[in-house]
Amino acid sequence: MTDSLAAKDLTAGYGHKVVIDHQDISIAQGQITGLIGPNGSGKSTLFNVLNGFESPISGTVTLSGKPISRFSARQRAQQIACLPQRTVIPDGITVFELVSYGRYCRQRGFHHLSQTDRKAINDAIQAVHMTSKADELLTSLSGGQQQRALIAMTLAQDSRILMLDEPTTYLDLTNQLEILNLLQELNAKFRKTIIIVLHDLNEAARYCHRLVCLVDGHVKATGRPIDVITKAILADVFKVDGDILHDHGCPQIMNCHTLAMPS
Amino acid sequence: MIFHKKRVLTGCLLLALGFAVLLDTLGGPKWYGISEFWRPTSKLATQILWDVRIPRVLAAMLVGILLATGGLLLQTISHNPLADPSIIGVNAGANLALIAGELAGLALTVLNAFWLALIGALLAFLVVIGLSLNKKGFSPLRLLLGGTIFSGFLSSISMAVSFMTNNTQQFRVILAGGFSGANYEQVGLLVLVAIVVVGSVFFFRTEFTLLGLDHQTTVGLGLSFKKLMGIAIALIVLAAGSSVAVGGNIGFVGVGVPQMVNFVHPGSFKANVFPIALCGGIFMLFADLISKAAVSSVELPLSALSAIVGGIVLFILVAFKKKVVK
Repeated sequence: MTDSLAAKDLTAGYGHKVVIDHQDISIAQGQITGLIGPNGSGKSTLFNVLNGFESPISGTVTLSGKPISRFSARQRAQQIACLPQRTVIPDGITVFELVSYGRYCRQRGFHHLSQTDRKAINDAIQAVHMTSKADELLTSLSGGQQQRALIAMTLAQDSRILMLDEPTTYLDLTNQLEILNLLQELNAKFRKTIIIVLHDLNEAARYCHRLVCLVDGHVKATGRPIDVITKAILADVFKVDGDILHDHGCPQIMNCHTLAMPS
Repeated sequence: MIFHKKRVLTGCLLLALGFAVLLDTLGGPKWYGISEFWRPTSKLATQILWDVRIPRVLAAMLVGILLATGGLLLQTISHNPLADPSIIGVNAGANLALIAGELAGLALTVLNAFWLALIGALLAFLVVIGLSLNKKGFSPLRLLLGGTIFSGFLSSISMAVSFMTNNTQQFRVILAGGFSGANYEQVGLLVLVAIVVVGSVFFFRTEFTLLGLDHQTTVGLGLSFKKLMGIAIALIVLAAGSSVAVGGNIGFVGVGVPQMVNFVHPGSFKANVFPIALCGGIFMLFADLISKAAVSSVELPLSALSAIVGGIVLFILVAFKKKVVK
């Protein structure tokens, strides 16, 4: 198993506030890695440093063995496609146009769409099952459909790594599952390395090959879901008690209730 | 098909712009016939047309184009359809710089007015950007709120200074806006600025379109965010500053024209920037025509006129849009 993205002795934060404190993290190639942890544990900070959006305070992030700071924005975008938690949807653009933005990092000169670009865009739209909606205005679509269109935009980048920050947060259950199934399909079909921040631990356990559990800027546990989602971690990190059932080797939490917070 | 439609639209707008140029040239306190160009009735008429009307018309058209383009750029980078250099204080900064320069004893030659206005616009914009930064970076809401307050603050100083020094009449064009004194030197500089602004917008049209998404997504797509923001800000300052140097503080065009075009023809920055620029020119030409021809012997203040016309149009748009949404 090779690392596609790794952080060594990473310290990161905003201004003087340290959020991630001297941590080593590696992301395995071709797998779905879930970043989990309570609010404020540093998931989003880690996400933003791993994709090169923020610079670390100290330590290095390497992409295919090379420091990510040495990549230009365009080169980075060819390797990592990234969807932040909340995206501004501009008025007046169609699904096709949004997805075509994904081709920016692959284009040169005057950014005319080549045959290759058009094929990549149409393939990406097809992958998220939105071909019939390609010419519709984004603002006329539902939240789930908009999210799918945004994912298609990142697919059009044709990158090895796909990073998504809580892609299911504002969606109903059907749409949540559809997005996660789609990611699973993309991983299986195209061997894409996927890094995803998730809040729902059961979804994380079901859809991810590996989990990285953060608490207060430290990696508390990392490994297969079955090794990470344990009673001890639930109590320690999430301050909840629950039963853990194993459904074909996949841990699922039941009968959850909060533990009394120490005052 | 889409490409074809776009060409037809641009063609129609160019025709309309040509028509507006002609109308604004021939119209005024005294209307001339079109034959005046090849069969002049008097030497005075020829002089008025070539030395007064034509530079004025060209200045109005170019300022309209610049204001609308600058407005759309600011709306795109701030993700706020109501942002406009004239609302957030960029124009007011240019205005104040002109008044301050004049009071400091600087002769307001065409060139002096240009660089003074540009510096004023730049300083004001930097202050407003500073105001709009919070811990997490740039906040569009703070830009608009801080900018509006700052704009009012600067305009009040301009007003107070010109009243206190009894120079209101002298600063009429700067304060009330208008093209009554436009000359070929100003037109020449405006042409240069327009080439830079429109040329850059054409060159970076894909990049600016992508800036319409949020910062993080934009960077994820491979855009050099800081570089492009710098370019966008420079272009906005250039457009707003040079417009103020020639036409004074003219509101509405920057926010109203993009709104109107987007209402009729919703589209991305790339799709709508040139129609919006052309409509800015057309709007300004008609506003100029009304200001000089509506009441004979009196030149109406263009900023007030633009705001009144624009206010009515925006009011109708908002009311109509609400109906459509419901």
